[in-house]
Amino acid sequence: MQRDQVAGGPFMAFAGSLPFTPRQRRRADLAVLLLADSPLLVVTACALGLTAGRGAPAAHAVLLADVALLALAAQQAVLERRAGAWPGVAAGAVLAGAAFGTRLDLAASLLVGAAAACALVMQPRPRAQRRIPRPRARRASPPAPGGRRGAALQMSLAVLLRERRGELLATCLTAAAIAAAAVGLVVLFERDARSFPTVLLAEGAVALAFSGLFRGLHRAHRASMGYLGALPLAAAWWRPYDLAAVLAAALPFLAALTACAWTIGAAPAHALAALASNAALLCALRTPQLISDRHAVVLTTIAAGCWTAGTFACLL
Amino acid sequence: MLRFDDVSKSYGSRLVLQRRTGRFAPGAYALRGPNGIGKSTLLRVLAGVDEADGGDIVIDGHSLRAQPAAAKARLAYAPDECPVYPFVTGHELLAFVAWAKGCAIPDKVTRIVERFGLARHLDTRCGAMSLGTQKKLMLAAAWIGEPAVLLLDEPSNGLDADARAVLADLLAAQRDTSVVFMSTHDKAFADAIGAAEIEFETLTDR
Repeated sequence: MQRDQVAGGPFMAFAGSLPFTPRQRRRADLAVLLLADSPLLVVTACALGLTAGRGAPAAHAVLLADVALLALAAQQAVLERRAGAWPGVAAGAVLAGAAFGTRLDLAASLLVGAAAACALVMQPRPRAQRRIPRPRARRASPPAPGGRRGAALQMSLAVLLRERRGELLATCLTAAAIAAAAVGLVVLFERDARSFPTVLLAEGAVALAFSGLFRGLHRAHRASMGYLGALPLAAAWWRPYDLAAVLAAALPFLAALTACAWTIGAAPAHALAALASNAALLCALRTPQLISDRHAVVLTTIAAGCWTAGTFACLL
Repeated sequence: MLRFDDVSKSYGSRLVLQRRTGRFAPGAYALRGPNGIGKSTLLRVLAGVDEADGGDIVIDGHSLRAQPAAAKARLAYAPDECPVYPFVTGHELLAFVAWAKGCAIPDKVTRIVERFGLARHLDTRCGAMSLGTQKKLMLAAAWIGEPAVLLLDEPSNGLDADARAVLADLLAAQRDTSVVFMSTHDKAFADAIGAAEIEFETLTDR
């Protein structure tokens, strides 16, 4: 999540022109990673202390160290954009996990730990050169007449679909997981109409998940104010367009849950009211998401909880 | 057309502009002064990007404080850098500026795009454009909406010789009807436009 920050930000583009060896750069990256991972390392150290105090087998302690080393190796792979390192990390995790509790657990854990430590300290291999794509002749195209209202909505959509595509995809996967879990529970409850609150909760959770997109949108607009501030636009002109873009992304999931509520026999008016309430919740969560960077998650969760409780009180 | 009185601006405890005053009729003006004196800040404040701490700014008869939308509709601003969404294409940016100014992209801008050799880059995202191409895009967008005041921050920076000549030609033509107020260290460029030199330190009441 914080790849750019850990990598050093724009300064590293300049530092790349200085005569540092790959080993020196890797050491600097590792030092920053260790500092950034200090909460994880504290937990690992505490767990190691507990293991030693209880007189657990050595394999347990080595496995704990493996987890920390594999986490560092995975983070370093992300930092260096080495997708090829991922199968190695995955294989190490699978091997250590599968061997745990068997007679080979100590040997397997030691092997994985040694491999992860080597990967961390060894000089990285130079990456294979990328194949240079053949330049395509570009057709010169005149500017379209423009001036249409869609131009503003296009900005919000472009933020989501181009700049923050990964975040949008992750949010959609989260929402899909929430919806699937809710449907699974409804099936487990044998489609009883009394499982309608589960669907309501899931809709609130979906709204909560999608509300996080408002922060990225807001940041992107603010970053462009050095130019857009000179245009004859209202302050925060982007608000309705951001709301429309995020609602459009969330509506399929909310609609799927509404359909689920319908199928279990919830009154159509109640199912639609729940949809409307959670669409409104999504819009309302924009404010707590933007009110404070540090407390956004807490404030938004509290707001979503209160809203969902209110929806329960009205519909049940 | 462009008037500002006692304009001040500070960032935290750092005072950057102190009671700057100026009045400009249609024509071209090259604002000069050493680095860091506040030329870019003055242009940002005049463009409404940064709000002045004090003073009054009037663009073509509209106060920037009292009627910001009307004032901004009559001005165009091209910053030294390209602080716009890096993921939008040139086409999309021009369409957006046209939408903001409530007009269509005029034929004149289409011709400017062609003269700058920008047309083949319009489908490229701003973040992937070279510095010079970004600059051309910002400058082409400045002609959208028939501005009465053009505020240009180092407009010739990063331009190739051909584009620089095109820009000088465009600004020389524009100075008859608009205020072209630009900061530049490029004396030859200012001379090519026929711009009057304004020393930053002289922008005072005294």
